[in-house]
Amino acid sequence: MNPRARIILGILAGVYCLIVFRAFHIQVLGVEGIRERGEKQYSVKIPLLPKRGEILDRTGTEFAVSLSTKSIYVQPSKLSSPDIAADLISRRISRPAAGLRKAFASNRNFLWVKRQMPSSTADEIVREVREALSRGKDDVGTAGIGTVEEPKRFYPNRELASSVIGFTDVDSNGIEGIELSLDKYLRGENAFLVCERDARGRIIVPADAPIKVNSAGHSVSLTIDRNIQHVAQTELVKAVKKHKARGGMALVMQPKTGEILAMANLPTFNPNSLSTGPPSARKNRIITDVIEPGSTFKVFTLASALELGAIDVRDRVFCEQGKFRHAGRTIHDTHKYGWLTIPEVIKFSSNIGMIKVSEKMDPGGFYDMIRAFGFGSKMGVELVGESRGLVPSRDKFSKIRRATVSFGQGIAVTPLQLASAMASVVNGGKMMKPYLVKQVTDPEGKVVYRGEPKELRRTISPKTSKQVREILGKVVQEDGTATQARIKGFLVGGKTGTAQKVEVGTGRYSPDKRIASFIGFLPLHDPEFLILVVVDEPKGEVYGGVVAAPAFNQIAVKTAYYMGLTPTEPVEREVARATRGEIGAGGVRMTRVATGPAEAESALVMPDMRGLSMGRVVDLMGRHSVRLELVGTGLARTQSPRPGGILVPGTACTVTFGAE
Amino acid sequence: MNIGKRHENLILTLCTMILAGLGAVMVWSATSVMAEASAGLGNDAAYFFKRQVLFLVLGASLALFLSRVDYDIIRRHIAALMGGTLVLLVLVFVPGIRHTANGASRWIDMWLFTFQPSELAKFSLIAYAAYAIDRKGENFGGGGREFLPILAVLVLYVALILKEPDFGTAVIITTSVVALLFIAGFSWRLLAGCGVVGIMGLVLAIVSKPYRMARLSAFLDPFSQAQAAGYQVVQSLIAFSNGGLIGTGIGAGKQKLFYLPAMHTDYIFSVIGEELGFAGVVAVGAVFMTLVWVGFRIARRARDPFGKYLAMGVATMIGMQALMNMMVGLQMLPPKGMVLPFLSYGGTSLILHLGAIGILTNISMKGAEVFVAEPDNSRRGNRRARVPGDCAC
Repeated sequence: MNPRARIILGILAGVYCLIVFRAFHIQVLGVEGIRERGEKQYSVKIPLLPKRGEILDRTGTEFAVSLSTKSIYVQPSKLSSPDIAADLISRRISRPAAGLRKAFASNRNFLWVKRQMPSSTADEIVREVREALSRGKDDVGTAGIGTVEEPKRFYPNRELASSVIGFTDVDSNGIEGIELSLDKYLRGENAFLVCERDARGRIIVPADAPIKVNSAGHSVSLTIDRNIQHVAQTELVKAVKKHKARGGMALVMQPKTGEILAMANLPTFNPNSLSTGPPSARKNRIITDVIEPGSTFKVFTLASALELGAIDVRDRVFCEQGKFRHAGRTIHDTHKYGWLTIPEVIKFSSNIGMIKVSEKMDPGGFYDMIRAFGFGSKMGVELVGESRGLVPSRDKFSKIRRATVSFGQGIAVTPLQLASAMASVVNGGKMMKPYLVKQVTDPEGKVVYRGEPKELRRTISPKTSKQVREILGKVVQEDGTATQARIKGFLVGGKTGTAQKVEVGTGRYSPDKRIASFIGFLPLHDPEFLILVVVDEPKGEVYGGVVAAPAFNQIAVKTAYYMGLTPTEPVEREVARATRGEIGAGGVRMTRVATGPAEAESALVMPDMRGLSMGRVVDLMGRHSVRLELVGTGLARTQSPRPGGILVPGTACTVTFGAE
Repeated sequence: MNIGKRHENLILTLCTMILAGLGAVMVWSATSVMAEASAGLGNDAAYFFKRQVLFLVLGASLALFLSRVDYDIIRRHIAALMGGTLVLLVLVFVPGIRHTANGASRWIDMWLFTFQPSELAKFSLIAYAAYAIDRKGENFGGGGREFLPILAVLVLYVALILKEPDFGTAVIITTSVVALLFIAGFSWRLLAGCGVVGIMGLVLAIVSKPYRMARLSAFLDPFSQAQAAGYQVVQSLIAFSNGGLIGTGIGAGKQKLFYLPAMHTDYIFSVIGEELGFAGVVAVGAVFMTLVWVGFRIARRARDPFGKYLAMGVATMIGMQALMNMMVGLQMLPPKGMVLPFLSYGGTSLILHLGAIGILTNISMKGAEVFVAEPDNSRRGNRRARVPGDCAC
């Protein structure tokens, strides 16, 4: 052959070899970036709701969970007869057919029809539609309709602690409460439905499209205890109902640590059906609302004066026989008193006596004490929307203002501030940061955050604290303002409060609206917990000692036995028997407790098991050493003792099951 | 191995059938989703496939016909062929007759089909070059006097084709004719000079038009503008990458789903790369190389210099076009509109290429039974066919 022809053939062969090398490089060895780019352009991620973490209480009870539900989607461009599908679906999900017809007539590739339905219902609808569309055809595949699993938020305990737990919106964003404040932990990374897509952007949803979940949300364990919360909420409801009040608040806290065991608001709401109640009921007023504390504030005036050395517990003050002209204003007491000892001033809650006490203090020192107790600043609890309260500025802390503040007027505080300050007064003078979050665990169970007691500062000395505790113990004694706060087996301390409400419009004190409160703690000498009960606008009786103290009493008794506190005072049989009718309404026998401190055991406050499956009941009750009697099948219908009742170990608990 | 006329014809037919048959299948695979989605094509998934099969039948008939007609008819009527081609190339510019697509007027409307004159021009110019070389006969000197008339004709036709514009075909014609002239013994200095001038003109053409510069830069770094000028190249590379060693299987490729533009014409090789993998790429290339090799073997046995150069020209052109198309798909050459012979969808191209195979077959049939090399083994290049009228080369 012609050598030049050979050259041409050689060139062609050489080029062929180059092509083979190049193809080998790209196809077999792989070039970085090319394959990835391809995969990226084929897949389209349809965002699904993330799987939020659970919110649990300190016992591990679920307060917010993510249920597995299904969402129905439609690919209108693939529907063989959009109108049939639209009509069928419209009947099943009760949405107007016209709207669906219009949506299905579009050539859109993907649209949600209904999200977060019970799995079986969703599957049923899809099956039905597919059957209708495939009539007369062999196989239509997905037929342009399908389901995807998507979690839905559910709150098994409904109203219980709902103002603390909060809620999410339909897109799984935290809106209120812990759901909002810890959203970044709970939310979890977004999940996606990974579909293929062609170059015209049309989505190809495989029948079993993979769901890519980057990471589920973290679980949050609260310091709240389901049982104490239940007691607090139940007793609060009782008090509010009994006194036909507008609402109320109850807070149970451990003064030594700042842990919040229960936080109840009334009115409240069911986070599972938000549309049924007014939005105002969703507020956690314990942190958002400010109230004039009234007489409960006298505790802080007293503690300040003692701490500053302005008075001695043995001092006496003259109470002007109930009427005192001071700084251009006349101050009244409800009763006429002459000379009172300092404990008596508190015990009888004399306003005039408190003015006298406050006048002995250096005004700046008093002011600094008020701020040290936390009034006027946020407490830093793990919730959004906390108020600072209203504390007059230092230069406006005039003589008359000092006088009214001394007995709790002219200053506004949040119930949380009140409880936290009280905790520091009774726990030996440590200002503990109140907290709600016990720990946050990631999906693998690793603890990523742990709530620990935090001492913010010291307010008063342990000596002053002891003096104040003892004085507060006298409040519940025979002739004190809150005899109904007394409980058997324990010495308690506390202080009543009855404040006039400030009218929203005028800024003046309302003639008849009151806020009745009681803040107490036990045991008196070594407080384990502190309870605040606030009743808003009670009708009839308005005094804290009458309206709020009984609720305190009930919460305190049940919490004490539930927590297994050893009674500090011997309880005699006859006394216990007398008590039975009062607190043992659920058939709880108190005799064992009543035999004396040494034999005391912890009692169980019955959870509300109604509506739970048998498995859940066994699970729930199995933690405690109780004898469980299960009757019938289905879901729990009735229980004994009733919810909130007390079950002493060793006695039987009966749960009856039945069909819905 | 002693391969004779019959074997060569068989290999030639076999290669052609493999390529054209595979082409029809790949066209079907590449277009079925697109065609089904297109209301303008009657939502017929097999629209392109059916047409390609029709072209295949027409082309095969033409090939059969041309293999029975003595190829000398081309030599004798070369003036008519060149004239007719010229007329058709000019008609492309006549409004009402021309058919424009993608900003280029390359086609003439012919009732149901469109005809692409530049495809015909490729074969006409190869035939003309073979004719011109043949006419010099024994007196061939390989100098400027013989070269200038060929160059003038080449420049005229290529200029018209460039005007359409059909850059790819212009490049194919020029390189094929120059390669043929090189084989024929034209002074390599002369051809190199022309090459330098041509490359300078090419550079000038690229620099003068910003869009050509943009295309060049997109070719050099397609990923920096993957959504714009580099789109085709990037999508083609993704297709090859997806294919891997043995491919996704016919029909299973994703790139044809509206990612890869012109997947059934200019980029059919990328679809092959995706669905048949590296193995398919090597095999298809090998079949083309075999075709070229057989073409050159037929040329050696040709009856006369016209047949010899016509055979070599056709083989060179098919080989060059195939390789260039593959190189574009693999980002080894800048993109230019150019189909893969036999495989790409397109009536004119398929029919004319099959026709060219018919001519090759005829050259083979009219040629000597076997090529016998001269016993002189010291000069391997000086082998001659025992064919009357063969020239020394």
